[in-house]
Amino acid sequence: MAKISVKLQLNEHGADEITSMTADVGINNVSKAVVWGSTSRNAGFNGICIGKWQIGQAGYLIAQSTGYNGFLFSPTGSDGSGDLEITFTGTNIDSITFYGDPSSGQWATEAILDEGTLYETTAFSDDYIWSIIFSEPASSHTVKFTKWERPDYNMLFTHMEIFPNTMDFDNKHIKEFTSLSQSNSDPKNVFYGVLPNRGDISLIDRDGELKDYAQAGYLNQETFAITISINDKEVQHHIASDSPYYNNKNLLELDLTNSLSQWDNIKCLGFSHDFVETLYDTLNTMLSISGFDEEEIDGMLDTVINIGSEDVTVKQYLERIIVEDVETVESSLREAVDKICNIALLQVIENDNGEIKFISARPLATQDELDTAKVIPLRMQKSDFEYEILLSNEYEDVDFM
Amino acid sequence: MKNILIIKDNEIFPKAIGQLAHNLIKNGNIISTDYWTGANPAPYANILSASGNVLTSAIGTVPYNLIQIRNPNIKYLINEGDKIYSTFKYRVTSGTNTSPTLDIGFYSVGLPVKKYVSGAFSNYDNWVTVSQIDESGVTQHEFYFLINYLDADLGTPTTVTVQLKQCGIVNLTRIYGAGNEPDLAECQSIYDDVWLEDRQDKDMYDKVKEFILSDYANGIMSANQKELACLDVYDINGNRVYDFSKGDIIKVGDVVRIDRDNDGNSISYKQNGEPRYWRVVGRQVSKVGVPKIALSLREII
Repeated sequence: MAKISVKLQLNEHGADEITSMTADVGINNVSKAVVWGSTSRNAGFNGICIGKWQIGQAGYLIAQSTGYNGFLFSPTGSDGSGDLEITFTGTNIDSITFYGDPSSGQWATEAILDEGTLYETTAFSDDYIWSIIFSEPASSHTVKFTKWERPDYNMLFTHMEIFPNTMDFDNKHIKEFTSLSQSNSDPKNVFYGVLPNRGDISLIDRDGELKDYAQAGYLNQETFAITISINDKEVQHHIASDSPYYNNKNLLELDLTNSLSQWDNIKCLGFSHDFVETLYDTLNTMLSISGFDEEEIDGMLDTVINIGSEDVTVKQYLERIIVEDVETVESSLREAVDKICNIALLQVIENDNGEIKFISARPLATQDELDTAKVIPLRMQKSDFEYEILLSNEYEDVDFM
Repeated sequence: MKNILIIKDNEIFPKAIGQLAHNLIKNGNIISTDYWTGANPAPYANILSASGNVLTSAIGTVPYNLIQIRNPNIKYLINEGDKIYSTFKYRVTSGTNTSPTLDIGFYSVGLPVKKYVSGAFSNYDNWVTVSQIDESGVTQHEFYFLINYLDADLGTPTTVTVQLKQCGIVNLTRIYGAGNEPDLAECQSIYDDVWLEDRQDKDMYDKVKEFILSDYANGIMSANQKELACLDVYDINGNRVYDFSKGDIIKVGDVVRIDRDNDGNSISYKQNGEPRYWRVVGRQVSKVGVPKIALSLREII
């Protein structure tokens, strides 16, 4: 059975580290700093309470080996009230996620953030995972929890971590998905230019965690990157272009595209060169002024292609075309790169590793590609092989318009 | 009605010149006098002829003892320091002459990239081979190759002829990259018949048109496989190249061969029995239950 997983990229956080935590009901300085990835969730922890005041009177550290895992504090009142103020100290702290205990039904529901400061805020939570992003990164923040879900029960956290960069969904959470990777939107037709992928995916947000992040505005569409893996290998990279959330089903549907679609939103300033250069130089200028560095650009152009007479890299091919006194108009990066692709008969795609690559759009292959062609055997073929008999792409002339 | 492919034009296109061949010299194999010119301006004009892949230039009808052979208007970007490989053979036949000089060079506008022969000349009737690598002293994009024979005794027509064959010039730095240029022995092997190449500095409008009309002369087949099981994939030599347990699946851009389809059709083979190769141009990974992939394919000619 194939293991399918989807990783969602959430908002980037700073280089956070929490080196100590101080609670008003006790002090738990820990030797192990909390940084992203250093802790493991302890969702199974059960805040056992034997008698109202017997455990966690002054705060009690259950386990320290993997960070701040499992805390019991004083019991709440009969109305669920209970003050627990925690001060975090470290570097560039901009976020913290608390995990309550769903098995015992205890978690914090209300808190005052950075009380007594300019950034004082009252925050609320309706479930056991509570991510807080502070107004400003700082070396110290306070969170004063004031209300709890369960009365007459210890205040507790099973786990605490810096806001996660990513959320992982596995087979249990993925209802269904289709994701397309392509170099031709219609294989019958000829296409030269930048070609984003597209697809869709339905994710079951089992704990409502993703919904919380979305409601709190933590999901930035621009950086909401999605990586689909099969058997732990990344096979496609996307970004969400549309994301309706069906609250009653805890179901998130995402329309997918990839980073190339963002090239529509990157401005490529026009430029004028009063000299002769290669088409590679022209493309290099376009990509450079749009924010790509030399290494990234050369990485996009290292695919070996057949140009009819020989096999060369895309960069070498573009260096065989010269242009004199180039003068370009301002456009989107995609429109600018499309011009190069039309001249050199190229396409731009994002491959399985998330790398942007220029490739040949001509129906040719390198000798190495032919020598190492992959065979699709009959046992893999679960449907008929459909092909075009009437070839509409037999061209007798070319017009440039 | 003609089936015409429309390519989107842009402001760079008209200025783009393709230099896809290695040889900078047009018609370096002298199959005719095309692309070769005689002395310029006209009063000095000498007579060019081509026979047996040899270009011969004799003195013209006016009494100027100047013989010139040019391969002009080479539009190619050469940077200062680029390594240039040259190979050609020339011969001057003996005749009436007085204190002749022979100059052979590869020039940008007024500046020699390299002079191969220069000054007084006396080696008649022997084919001389030039084969060398030189560093360009200029950055330019328009050049000419020139042979210039001049007899000092103006007014008395000479009967000598200048001949040229197997002419090639290659910018090694542009082709192989700085620091990766082959040495002379390697060039002599790689470019043992470089003069046969006859394509360079064409407008990209013309090159694109040439490519498309060649690529699509008979149309390109496209195909779809809507449902493929995710399994290990082997290459045509039987080597496993994709291990599905490690998440390897066929990729967009892969070249594939389909040995036989479900219906036993022979579309996977050309009429001559050769296997038909396809480029994967679209891949759809889906999961509704078990994971599957679908492929869109384009024929490789």
